[in-house]
Amino acid sequence: MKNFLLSFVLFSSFAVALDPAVISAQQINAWEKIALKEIQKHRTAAPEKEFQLYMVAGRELAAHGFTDKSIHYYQQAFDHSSNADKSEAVIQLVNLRRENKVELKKALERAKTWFAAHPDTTLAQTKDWLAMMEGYAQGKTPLIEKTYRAVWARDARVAELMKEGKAEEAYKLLGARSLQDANINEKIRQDLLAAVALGKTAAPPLWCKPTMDRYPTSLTWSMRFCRYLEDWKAGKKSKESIQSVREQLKKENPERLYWADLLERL
Amino acid sequence: MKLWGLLALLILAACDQNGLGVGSAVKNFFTTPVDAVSDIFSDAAYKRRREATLAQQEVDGVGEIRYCVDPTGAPIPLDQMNALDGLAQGLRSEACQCVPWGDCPTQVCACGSLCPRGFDIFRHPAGATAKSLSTPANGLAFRNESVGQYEMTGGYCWGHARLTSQFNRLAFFKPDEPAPHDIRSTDPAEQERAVKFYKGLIDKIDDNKAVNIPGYPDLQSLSDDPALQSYLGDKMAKSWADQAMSWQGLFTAVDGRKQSNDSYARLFTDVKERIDMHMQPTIIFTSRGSPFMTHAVLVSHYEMMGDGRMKLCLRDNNHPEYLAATCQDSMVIDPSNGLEYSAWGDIGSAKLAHNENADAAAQAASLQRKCSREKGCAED
Repeated sequence: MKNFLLSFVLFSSFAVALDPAVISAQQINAWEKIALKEIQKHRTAAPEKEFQLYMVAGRELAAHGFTDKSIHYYQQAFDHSSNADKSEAVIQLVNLRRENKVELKKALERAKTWFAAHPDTTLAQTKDWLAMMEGYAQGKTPLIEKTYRAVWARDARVAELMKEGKAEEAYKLLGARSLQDANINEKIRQDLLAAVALGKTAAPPLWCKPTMDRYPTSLTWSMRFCRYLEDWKAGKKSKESIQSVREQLKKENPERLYWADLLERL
Repeated sequence: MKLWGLLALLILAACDQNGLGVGSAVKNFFTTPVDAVSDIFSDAAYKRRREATLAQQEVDGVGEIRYCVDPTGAPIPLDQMNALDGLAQGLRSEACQCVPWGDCPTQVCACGSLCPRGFDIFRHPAGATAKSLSTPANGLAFRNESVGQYEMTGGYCWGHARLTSQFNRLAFFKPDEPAPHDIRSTDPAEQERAVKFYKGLIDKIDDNKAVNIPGYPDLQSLSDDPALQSYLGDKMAKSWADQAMSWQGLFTAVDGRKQSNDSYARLFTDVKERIDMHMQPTIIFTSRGSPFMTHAVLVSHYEMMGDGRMKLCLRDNNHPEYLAATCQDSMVIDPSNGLEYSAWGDIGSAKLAHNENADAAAQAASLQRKCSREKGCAED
């Protein structure tokens, strides 16, 4: 009876904490402390419910953007002694680590091992997804045209190639496209790669120029890129420098610093 | 002792209506196999607000309520109004609206009507409908990338739809209010401060919080600014990955087979209810016979056709915004052929996006808090 009450309290505590209408980082922290303490104290009381709690906590925390905490609970679910289907935890532990290649590789290895040991839970979609993530982790994502995640896979591959300085290959992967309605990140990437891959005369008109004309005083990184490219195409010394572009990227968008390395090659 | 402390917390939580709603979800949780449990707490929050919306609609009936107030804001008694032999134009100008986000003072109109608990809180500006959101001004200045060889694949459509919807529900543009910093300044430091300020507001929207956005008239102009567009573009891609790369996204719409008309009809009923509750929900669908050709769009509104069938008007992020308002992009259920999309032809599976309930519940809660603060009502 005591165990039942305890479980009920714990689940209810989490229920309130995870209600998106009331959720906040402070509440998550407060409730988490209580819950974890009790879970550790009564680990054997209701193991299946404990497993379910971990799963729901992982899922809800991911849905509300608490990635690190979500990883923690999915990991707890994965490590749990329960014999329940852990596919979701395995997949999510890969997905949530997609930004960190080192951690991603570890998670992928675990996923492959787990699905190999549980073939009855391995669906066609899971295999397809794991193959793509593995390719991505190795920096050679096979690009399956017209698949659900093709654009993501392509962009991931293009980023890899750009970091490796293979602008021509990256440009070939993107191809000549109409970007009139695309966002400015897409436009700058295309303009930059075309400039490096095709050279001053063969590169098409800059996609970023109409935006630059509308926002002549903007000092944001993309407009500095655009001004530099425009002047380079016109064969004149730009008032922007590689240094000014790099500095702006550092301030605004450091994860794209490698774009400046390619700009430097012009 | 600790246990009793926790029980006390539970009881206290149950005094709160949020706690009561979640309590029923917890009860279900104990009897539901884990594989079938999906977003159980988010769904509970959604269902609670749905019930509040439907209950309020029963009380209010349809349409807005208007009261007349004198210049001090006090209601004018009915007998005086009758004696006026109809309202003079001058008096009409003193009328206020007793609707969500309306301008009636709280002594005339109850807080429950001005800042409802349910999804009527999405009706802003006062009197707005779901369809009224489908304008270029309420859209992002860039479209989902889906050109060339990748045409009609997913792109970042899911993120585009979600971001658009978040702004439409949560952003209150105040073009006449000056921003604390000038984004057009030629002083680099001032421009940086302004960009930082607006990025902070974008983060809040992304976190499902309602905010005022000074200095811009609408989403179109905000997202046209390159400093903010870059940030929004990254948010869109991340949001897409958060949904589509997740466990739930893995199975959301990868079935290219024709579904039963009953299944499509259930989706239409669910979508209709959400539109009636002033939401433009996101749906995910797959081209029939091509299980990986998947797309996510907002449903703008619905229209009833001459033969009694419903037509869903889509706000497709691969197409110009104006197509939605005139229902040029639309979905219908053909009795013999199943679900058809005017731009794609036959559709396989179609579902509501799995982020809908969690987002809607969190957004409504934030809007209600904002509204209550502004109207001088007690916060929930």
